[in-house]
Amino acid sequence: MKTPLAALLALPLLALGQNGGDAGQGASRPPRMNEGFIGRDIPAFDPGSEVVAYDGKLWNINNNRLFRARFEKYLNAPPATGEADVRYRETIDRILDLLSPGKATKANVDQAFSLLKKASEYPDDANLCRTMSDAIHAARSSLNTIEQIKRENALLEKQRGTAEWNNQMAARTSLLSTTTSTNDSAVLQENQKIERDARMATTRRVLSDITQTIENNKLRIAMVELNTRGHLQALIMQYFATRRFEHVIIANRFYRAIYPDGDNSIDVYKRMIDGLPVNKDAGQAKINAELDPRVSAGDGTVEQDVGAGASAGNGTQVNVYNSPRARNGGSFSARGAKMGIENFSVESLTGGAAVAAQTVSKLVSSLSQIDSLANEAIRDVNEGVQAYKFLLEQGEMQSATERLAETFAIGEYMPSVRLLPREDKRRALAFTQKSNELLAALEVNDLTRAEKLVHEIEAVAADFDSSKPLAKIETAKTISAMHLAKARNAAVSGDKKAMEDELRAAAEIWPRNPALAEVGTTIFNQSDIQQQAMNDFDRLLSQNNHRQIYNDKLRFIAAAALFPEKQKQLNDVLTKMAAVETAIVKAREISSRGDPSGAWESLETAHREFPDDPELNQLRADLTTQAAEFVQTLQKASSLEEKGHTGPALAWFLQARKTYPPSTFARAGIERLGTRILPGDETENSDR
Amino acid sequence: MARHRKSPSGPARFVFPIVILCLAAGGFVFFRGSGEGQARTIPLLEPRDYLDNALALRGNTYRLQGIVDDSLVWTPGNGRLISVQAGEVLLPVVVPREQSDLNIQKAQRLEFVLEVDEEGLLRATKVTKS
Repeated sequence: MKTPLAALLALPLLALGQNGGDAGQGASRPPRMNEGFIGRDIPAFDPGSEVVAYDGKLWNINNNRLFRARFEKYLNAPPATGEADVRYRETIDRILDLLSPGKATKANVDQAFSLLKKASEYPDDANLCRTMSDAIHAARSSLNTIEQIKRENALLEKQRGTAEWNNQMAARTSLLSTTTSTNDSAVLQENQKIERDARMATTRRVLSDITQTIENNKLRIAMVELNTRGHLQALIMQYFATRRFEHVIIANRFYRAIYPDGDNSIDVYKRMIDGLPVNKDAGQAKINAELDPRVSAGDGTVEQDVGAGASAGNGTQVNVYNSPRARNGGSFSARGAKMGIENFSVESLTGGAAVAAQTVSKLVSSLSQIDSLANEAIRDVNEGVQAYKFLLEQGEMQSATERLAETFAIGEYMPSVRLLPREDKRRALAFTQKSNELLAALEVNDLTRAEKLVHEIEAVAADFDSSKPLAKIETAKTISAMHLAKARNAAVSGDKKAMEDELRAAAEIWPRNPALAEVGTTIFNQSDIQQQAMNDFDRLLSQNNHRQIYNDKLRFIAAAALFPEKQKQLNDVLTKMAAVETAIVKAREISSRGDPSGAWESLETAHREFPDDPELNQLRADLTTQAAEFVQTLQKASSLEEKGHTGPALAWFLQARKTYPPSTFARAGIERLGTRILPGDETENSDR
Repeated sequence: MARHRKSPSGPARFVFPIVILCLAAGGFVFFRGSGEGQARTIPLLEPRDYLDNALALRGNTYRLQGIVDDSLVWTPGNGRLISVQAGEVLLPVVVPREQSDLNIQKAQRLEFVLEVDEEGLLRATKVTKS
């Protein structure tokens, strides 16, 4: 805002959130997203409070949207050049002319008063002139009431003079009375006192009544004046707060015509406003102010005491006593202003007016100041419109739009704003719409669209500074890319949680990042490959095909990185297969030394553990052929042993040992069967 | 003339008594060893038959001559399990404790009287040196 006045006048709209700095008060803190690396430079949106933190400022989305909607509505509206608009303007201008200084004769004031009803008939007036007319009528009526009370008091003053005379006469003792003796004299004086008191009782009561009535009338005059002046002052302040500056001037001039005593103070209004309870946490409040005096009076008499008392609400209290000793008299009390406040929805402009009214009441002390501020506002609005037109010609759309928005915020109802041609407004509308779209894109972190809009705005607004939003956009993109890189690394290393966290962080910063989908797809494809590998692993494991698992061990090792439970199973298989491979190598080595029986025995142990390993089976078959006699002997022995034919089984084991003396299988079989045949606590074997 | 029986003369008159004496000695020897002679009536065990079909021999008694190959198991209470080489075949033979009065050593040539038990195991009922 260009001037303090403008800031003052813009309070209602600011209260509605044009500048989010105020609107954000009392709201919860914005989300802590992105904090730490680049602070809060990335736009952050808190859906709970609907507050956006951007560039160190807080934006209330609801309120901001409201202003944008109002402004865009204005920019789309046709100029107020219709017949009704023109007649309304003529009427207002005529009223202002009739009430202008030097022309405000009684006849002109009356004529202007009559034009108020006509002005209120037009839609643009929103019946404000009718309200003003009613208030002026009430003020005038109150003046007549005051004159009538004053005349009544003049009569009462004459009656009080008469009553005082009568009272004095009643107090005198008759000179016709004579005394005969001292005793008689005392009795006479006592009788005279009694008679005088009896005479004065009536005159004293009459005098008290008249005095009480006069004082009551004085209080009535004060309250009536308080009532009507307060009404008019509140009305003027309300017009000012709602930016109806012409109405401010009109009402102010009527006020001066009605009250020509030169008292322009707004103390009554200030007392009203100061008493307003304002809940700052609630944001806005709606003022309900009403001047509705409620008067009560009473009187009474106690001997020798005459007095009057009066009290009024809101700290106003008057007590009048004719006599310092008086304990009897009338009492008068009145309640003055009745005010209330209630919370209201953000869409109500009245709340903004109430907030503005409170602020204004602290800054101004007289109606003259309000009058000058209204004139200054009108000048400022007209100047703003001129500045807009000039900037429009220069192609500086950003400055032009900002000036028009400021001017609109202050002088929404001013003729210069209303008469602006639609073609001129449409250019600002195009810029505003793109700016709003840019803001919306930043709100949702749609950086691609935001960047596109920045370039579009650059094309239509020569003065648009794109460096700042572009810097923010690029920074956000960079950070998003870093998170994606971290997600990719985490996926490779099998850190599933870190991968998800990084993907989430990248998505928060730039939800529509094309690379996000690409990386996500890659990671998930990789996950598919890993999952497929694990499925194969499970299948081979269920088939006991450890050889295939061993042959594909590199694939399974990589895939099992993300599945800890599979890692153990794979490790077990590979450990066993290592034993198989060792047995195969050992068997081949023994066989190469010309000892097929020994090679066969070496392989047989592994075969019993892994009977399905094809490679082991193939080698075993070859060795079986080479050591056929030994193998057959052993197999015969084992077969007979299984059948429980101990004797021949042992004989065949002995034959096997004879065939291949180093045979471990034969030795084991002999020992096993020997122990079974001769169980005992001592054994011997000469060969052992 | 009556011919007179002529008495043998010369070495011939000693042949007959010697023959008689030999027959008497042979008879003595034969009848003195009538138990051993009974064992000789037990059939010899054919090792290959045992290997091929030991179960068919269960319950039979055989005589076996062989060389002690190895002492496989010995327990004080139950006797000894030895392997006996009979021909090209090694046969396991259980020598019960009752038959352990004979010292059995490796490479001894022994003759066994065996019974084939229900598990096909050869159990010695008599062991003699041969």
